[in-house]
Amino acid sequence: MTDDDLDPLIHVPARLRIMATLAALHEGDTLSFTRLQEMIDLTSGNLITHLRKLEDAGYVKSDKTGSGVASRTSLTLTTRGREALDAYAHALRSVLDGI
Amino acid sequence: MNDSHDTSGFRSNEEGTLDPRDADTLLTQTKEKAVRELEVNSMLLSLLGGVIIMVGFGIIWMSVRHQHPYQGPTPGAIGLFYVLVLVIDVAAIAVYRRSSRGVRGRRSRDSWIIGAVGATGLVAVFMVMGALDYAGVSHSVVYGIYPATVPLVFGGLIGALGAASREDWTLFVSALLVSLVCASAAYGGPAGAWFISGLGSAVVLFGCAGVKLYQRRTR
Repeated sequence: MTDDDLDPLIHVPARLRIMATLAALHEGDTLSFTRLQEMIDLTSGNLITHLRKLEDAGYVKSDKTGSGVASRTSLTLTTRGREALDAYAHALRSVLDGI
Repeated sequence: MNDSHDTSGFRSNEEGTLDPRDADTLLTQTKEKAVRELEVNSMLLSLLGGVIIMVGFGIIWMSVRHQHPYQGPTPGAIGLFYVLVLVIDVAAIAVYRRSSRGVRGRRSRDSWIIGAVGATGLVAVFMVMGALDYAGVSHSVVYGIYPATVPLVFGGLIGALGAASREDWTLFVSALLVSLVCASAAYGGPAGAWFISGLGSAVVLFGCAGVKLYQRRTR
């Protein structure tokens, strides 16, 4: 197995951290955008960009409630996202074993 | 979009991809950090709970150990005990709020349910204590065996439920052990029950904190 077999969508520092952080949530729980931003220390714009890519791939689901200052964006890893992260971790192990 | 604002400190090439070794380290570190920040710090709570139960029950035991016939804890000892109960409550709420900030869903719903059941149960426990006193049951039971054991038996069971909902099996087993130790403390008599419940629960909770520390270091 080579680096090319690693999911290119996850194999980026910021997105790997987003996925790993959301994977720590219990199934059925969501994390607010603000808390995720604090936890992984990314700028708001940068986080939005990465989240959009993960959402487009079906790895992350976001849900916005309320409006204005009371708005809240909740994020969670989808089943597909969990499976993709597991597959990525497995592939990463295989790559490292081959080095 | 680029990764120039990523503050992880790991090197990445122009496309933002990682060296596999760095990716492995980053994945492990991020997972550990996230679990640490999102989980209730039960090691800290066990340690604090153990100290407070040991000191609180110890103060009450000191105030009753030479009573013949048994009258019950002195008002001073009860006052100090409630101050300690308040301290552990404030600490538990602070630890819980820190970990659950921004988290919604099944876990927060479970916590509310368990909190409501626990609060109602504790009120019921002390209502029954009042009823026992009203019915003329001896001070040895009403101000000794009953308050030294039943609240912690109940608290242990509620703690076990909370731990199970978070899949914290070390705390789950410890909470059940607290219940069993405190139930068996009833055989120690009115003064002995305070001593056995306090010391026994503290030993169990210190053991839980020790196992948690070991798990954290070996993870």
